[in-house]
Amino acid sequence: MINAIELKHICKNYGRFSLQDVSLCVPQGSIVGLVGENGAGKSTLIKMMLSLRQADSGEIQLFQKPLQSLTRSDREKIGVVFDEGCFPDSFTVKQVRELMHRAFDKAWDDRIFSDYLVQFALPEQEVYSKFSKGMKMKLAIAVALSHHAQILILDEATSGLDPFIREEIIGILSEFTRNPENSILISSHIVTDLEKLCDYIAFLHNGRMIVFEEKDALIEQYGLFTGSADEIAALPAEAIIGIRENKYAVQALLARSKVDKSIPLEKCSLEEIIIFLSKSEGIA
Amino acid sequence: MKALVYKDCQMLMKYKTQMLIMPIFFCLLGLLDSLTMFQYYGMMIITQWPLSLMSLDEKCKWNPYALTLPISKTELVGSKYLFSLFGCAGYLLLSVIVNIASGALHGGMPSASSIAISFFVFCLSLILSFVYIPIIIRFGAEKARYLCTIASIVCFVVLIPLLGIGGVPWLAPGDKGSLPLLLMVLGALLLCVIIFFITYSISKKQMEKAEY
Repeated sequence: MINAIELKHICKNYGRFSLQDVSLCVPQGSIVGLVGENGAGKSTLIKMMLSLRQADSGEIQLFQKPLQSLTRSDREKIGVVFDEGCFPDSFTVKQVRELMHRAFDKAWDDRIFSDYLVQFALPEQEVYSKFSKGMKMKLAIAVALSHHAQILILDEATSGLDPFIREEIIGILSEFTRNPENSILISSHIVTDLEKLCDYIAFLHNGRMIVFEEKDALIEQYGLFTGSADEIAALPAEAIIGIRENKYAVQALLARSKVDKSIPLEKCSLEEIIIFLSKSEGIA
Repeated sequence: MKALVYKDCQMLMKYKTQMLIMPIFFCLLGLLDSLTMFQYYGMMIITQWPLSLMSLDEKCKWNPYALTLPISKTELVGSKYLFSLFGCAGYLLLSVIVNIASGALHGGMPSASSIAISFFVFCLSLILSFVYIPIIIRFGAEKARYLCTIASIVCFVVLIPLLGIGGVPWLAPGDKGSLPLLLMVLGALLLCVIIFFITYSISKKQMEKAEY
């Protein structure tokens, strides 16, 4: 399997926070969701992939090449969307188009960009500072998709957006990976978005990679048991990932492989799995 | 690089009143015989271009995004030097034209000293612009404002008397000062080139180390 992005044993120490031996890969043609609480290290990891920060140790490869070996042609194939707008406030969409045309040169596809402007209903003459957050994000995505990128990296790109825009963006990202050469790494703390979109889930907590798994396999690994405290106590301890209590019942997330098949388990959502896993790691 | 120059030009046009029209206005004041020295105020405004542009870049977090495009850190640094050079050179050209026009309006050609002084101030402005750039990269635009002000004062206090001992050249364009004019101009040009190489090297290293 070819990996579009590969990180091996990445370490970075900032004193109070550190990334510890983080490994991750984005197989070509797939969508990997990087999930974690605020401050988990998602943005730090993404910035390292983009050479905006340096790792203390470890290896990062894009297109199966070390970062320092990437050519201009390789960099033209990387599309990036950050959570905050990054075009000059005084620029219009038309000026952004001209700017990107000069930056990407022959790789820039003006026709595709125009199509996205129409699809997203972005006015060409409007000043960037007057755009809403959703419009800024759509413009950033339109730019990222208009130079025949093969890797798309989105850092909290859907944060702060309403469900309608998020749904639209998810649809566009799904469409992007119809081309088997295209891959996406998207970081978010909105797990429901990642559950709809991603093939793989990477859960980063406090600088450590807790889980990196195929999404469907991850969901199948666990089940939710609802019962009384005594019933939970009777379950095999090694199967219990986490326990959640409310005034009506107690719920436990169980590893299916470690419990008897006769025990009734409900399917749980990815969000619930992540929350239980994080509780078992002691962050909540 | 052309994308970066395009961006800076567009931002310059957006803030043209402060960054473009004011220096041109000061330069044109030189058409009035007694107000030649105002030309040099305009040149000083041009030295602020790197600070203003990089401050705007910081505000919109342009640098980290630009580095995800096929733009290298070297190009990011180089574009600021190029822009400073074009700005100062363009103003020098305008300044020389104004000097010639002023000479024609008020009788006779401008003295070689007035053109030499324009060139000297051009070199000085370029030196200041070049010095500002690594300071801004290292400390950020807001902190750099204070340091750049100090750099300007040091430059004026140390350099101008050094190169114009015995006189203050721009107040009396006809005076030669204690050093031959040609030596003064060549000295400024040489210093300009030396400062460029030093500050460019420092800027590149700063940019390589910068994390976003």
